[in-house]
Amino acid sequence: MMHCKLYKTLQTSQGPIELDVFFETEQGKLVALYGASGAGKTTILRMLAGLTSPENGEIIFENETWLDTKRKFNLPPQKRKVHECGAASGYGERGCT
Amino acid sequence: MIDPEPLWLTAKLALITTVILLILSVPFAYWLAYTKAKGKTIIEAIVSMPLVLPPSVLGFYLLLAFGPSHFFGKFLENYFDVRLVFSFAGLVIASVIYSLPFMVHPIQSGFAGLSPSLREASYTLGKSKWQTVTQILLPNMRPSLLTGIVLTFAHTIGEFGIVLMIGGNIPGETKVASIAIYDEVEMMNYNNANVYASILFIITFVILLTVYFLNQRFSRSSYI
Repeated sequence: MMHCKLYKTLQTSQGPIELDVFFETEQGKLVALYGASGAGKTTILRMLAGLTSPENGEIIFENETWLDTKRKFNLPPQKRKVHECGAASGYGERGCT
Repeated sequence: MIDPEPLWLTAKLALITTVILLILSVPFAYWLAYTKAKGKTIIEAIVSMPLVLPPSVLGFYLLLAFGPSHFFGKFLENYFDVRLVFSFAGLVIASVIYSLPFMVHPIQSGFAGLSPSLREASYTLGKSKWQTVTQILLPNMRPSLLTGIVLTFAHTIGEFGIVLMIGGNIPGETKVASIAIYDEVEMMNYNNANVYASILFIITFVILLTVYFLNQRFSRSSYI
């Protein structure tokens, strides 16, 4: 189970755009992230991995808080174990989507 | 026949300076390459100063600082019984300061030239910052490390002004090969000067040739 709420202003060639996403995913479900070029797909994934910080938001993965901007808590990429989610063998097993 | 002592002293000075600078410069260059601190520009300018400053200027100020009549020199002499002027230890410190940009600049460019995705992939795969630097970043910037090491070594071999200011001309202590050449010329011993000079000439040429050769091999085997 992943709970994800993210807000960030992105600077693009057409001026600033607001990236405002909220989603929850269930264990074993396959989720597709799609959108136009420059919509913020990569930024969302970077924020999930901890490589980019959102202005506001929270990420909770299996009752473990990865990010909570209100409490100024931001787990570093090393502690998030996103590689285990991406590994084919662990796919779906740890509630990864 | 020439005295081999200055040549040995030059090699010792260059080796010690290079080892000290390598240990200091890797974390320092890492910080310079990735920091967003405001004071970075000032620190970069200070690091680059020895590139443009006449060695005699730097040598003069170090002579004042290390001298027993000034605060730092007096402090070292009173509390540690160490005198840095006209000593080999003083030469090493002066060389480290003087050759700092020759080590820091190539390593800093090496870090900055690496793709950020290398670091990010390493972090998301669970590697710590230390592991990322030692196992991922440094092995991928071997040419920059080699350039830094060799430039520092060769530059220290060629030091003259700063050595003369800080170390003087004490045989076996501070009389390095470049000073010995000057000494022999002063005494009209052109033959001895020629032997020293040609040895330095050959050593530096061989060092640079090795670097270019190795860099060529590294660039062929690079995957990035």
